Amino acid sequence: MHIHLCNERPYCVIEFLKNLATVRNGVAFREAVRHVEGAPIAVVQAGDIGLEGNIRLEELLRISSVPTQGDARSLTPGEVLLQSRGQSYRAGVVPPHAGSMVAAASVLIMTPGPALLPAYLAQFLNSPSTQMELRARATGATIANLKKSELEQLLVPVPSLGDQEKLVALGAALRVQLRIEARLAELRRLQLRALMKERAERNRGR
Amino acid sequence: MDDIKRVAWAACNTFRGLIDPAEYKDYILIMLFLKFVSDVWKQHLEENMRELKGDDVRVQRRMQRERFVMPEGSTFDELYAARDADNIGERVDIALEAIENTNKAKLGGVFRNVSFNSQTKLGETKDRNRRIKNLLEDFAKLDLRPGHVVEDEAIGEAYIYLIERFASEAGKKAGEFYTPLQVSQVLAKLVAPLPGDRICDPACGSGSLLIETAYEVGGKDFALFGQEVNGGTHALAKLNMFLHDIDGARIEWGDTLNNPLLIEDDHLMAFDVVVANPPFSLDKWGAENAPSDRFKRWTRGIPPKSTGDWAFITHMVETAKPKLGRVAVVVPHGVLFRGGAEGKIREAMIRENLLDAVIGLPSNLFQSTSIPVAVLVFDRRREKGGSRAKSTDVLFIDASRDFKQAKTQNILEAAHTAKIIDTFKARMDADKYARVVPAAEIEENGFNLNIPRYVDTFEAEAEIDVKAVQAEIDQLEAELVEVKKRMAGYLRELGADA
Repeated sequence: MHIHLCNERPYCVIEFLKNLATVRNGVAFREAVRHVEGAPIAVVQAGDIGLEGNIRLEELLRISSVPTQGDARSLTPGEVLLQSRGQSYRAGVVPPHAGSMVAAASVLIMTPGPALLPAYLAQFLNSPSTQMELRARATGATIANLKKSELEQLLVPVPSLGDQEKLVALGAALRVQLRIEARLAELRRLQLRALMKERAERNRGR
Repeated sequence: MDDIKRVAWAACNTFRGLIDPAEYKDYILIMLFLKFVSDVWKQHLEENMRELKGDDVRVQRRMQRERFVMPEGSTFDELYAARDADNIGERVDIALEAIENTNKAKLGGVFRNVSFNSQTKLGETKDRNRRIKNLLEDFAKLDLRPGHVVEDEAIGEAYIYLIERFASEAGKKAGEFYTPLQVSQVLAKLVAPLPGDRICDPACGSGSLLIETAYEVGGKDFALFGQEVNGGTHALAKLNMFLHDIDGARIEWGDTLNNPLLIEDDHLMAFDVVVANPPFSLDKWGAENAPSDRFKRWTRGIPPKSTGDWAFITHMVETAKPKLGRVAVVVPHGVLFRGGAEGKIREAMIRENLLDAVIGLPSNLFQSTSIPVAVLVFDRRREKGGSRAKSTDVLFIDASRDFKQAKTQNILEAAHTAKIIDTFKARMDADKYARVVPAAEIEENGFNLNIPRYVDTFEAEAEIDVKAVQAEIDQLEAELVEVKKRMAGYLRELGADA
């Protein structure tokens, strides 16, 4: 199903995610994953996907073997991971890494097709309006759970690959801007407090 | 070792959802015990048969002197062979009863609270039989014969591991049977038991704190005593002792405050070391019986009927040997400052020079509660005529900020415990951590023991370096201009008006 949209610009379409990427579930571990120092397989759990979609390789738990239940295919760089449980669903791109890496069942794995850049897909998933939609699609009595079938029904706007690249760069720049502005506000507050103290001391000295 | 844990934990799937973890733990732990004693019995029987060249009479005679004697039809293997029987629940019950009767001195009453034939707990006959069969099949996978288990302590460790896991599943209900290992270790090291000591826990739960304290002795020269009010938990404590190869422990079933059962010549038994993590602020602890207490424990005052903390503390101090005994008890912070009858008892204890140390621990260490707790250490060697009668000060340690944050709980790491113990032993002031406080100062504070009154942990606000702040602002402003320029470029390329 193709719906041409985006202010009728010819290169922009909206498409169900299932037509743009394959989605699979992470590995269901029966017990808590226990870290084995120096073991060959890294495990990405939901909590390992950072606020800005970053996945820190050095912080991942490591295991010696993967239990057989579920799809234990190793992750490849460029696949997109999405937290599937809870109230927020952060997405991140699998970074280049050495050795084997798997995702736990609390993570959904997307392999984007040729029409989508991984970084663009992650950025789209992390945007506030997509997050709201994902929350609406999640079900579960105690812990909200986003099912693979629900994620596949998500509509994704698809610009040209060139535009996706620029949008990703723009998104990255926006995040830098927000970070700088937050730190600036903090510094201005510090400056204000220091000035209050300094002026009061000056007043006392008068 | 890991196999034992894994198999036993997996066996719990038989019960999950059906009954509460606080209840199914009894079935799992009893099955572990049964498998262990059966396997030991089997191995010894084989060895004796070999050694005595099949002389049945002599073999039987020797087997009757085993640590545990297994009557016919009661071993795990025999029950496993009968796992398809229609009355398997009843058979397990009969086997347990036979084991209990044959080993009355050691196992008297241990299995009385658990029935494998209970319809209310394990369901209708068909379901019940299926569940027991599953359980027997799960445990049949384990080989617990001595020499096949990795280490001697493996069974005991697995038992404690299971109790710990049950505690985390049981959540708030766990308080009554489990004290986290790290807290047990702190208590054990504070009271520093010596070879030959009599060690008691008057609210012993499943016995892990007692065992941890006994380990601190190093060797086997100690005598353990405990009392527990909950019948099921009392049985767990007894089994825990056997699985840790401690046969001589005396664990009584009953209410310590209203009916202390550790009695000697019509007096309360006295111990070198008394440790406990009693229920916090127990309501209806039996204040109405206190005036007629035949052991006259409440001479310092009767604690309020709705808050039993000082009742346990008083009992513990009263059962420590005069001029010798050491006491360490886990308490909620209210114990340190509440007034009324509690304030009076606290004052009396301090005036008698019994209080040795107050240690604040981090919050959220327990499965059962997230509140911060404190440990009080009493030392009867500080009494008149005791070897420490000259120490009149009280050591305050504020260890509340030293912990590792884990997912749902805070954890005391070895370094944190070591810091507490080193400071306790050195009895020296440490900046923002510990202070040796003279008795007079505590009196000035109205015998209020609230830790921040004595240990100042206030962190002064760091001086703001105005120049450095301005320099960082300038640099960030420049970066911001740069970023905005870059953004304008992208926006132009994307056809937006920048």
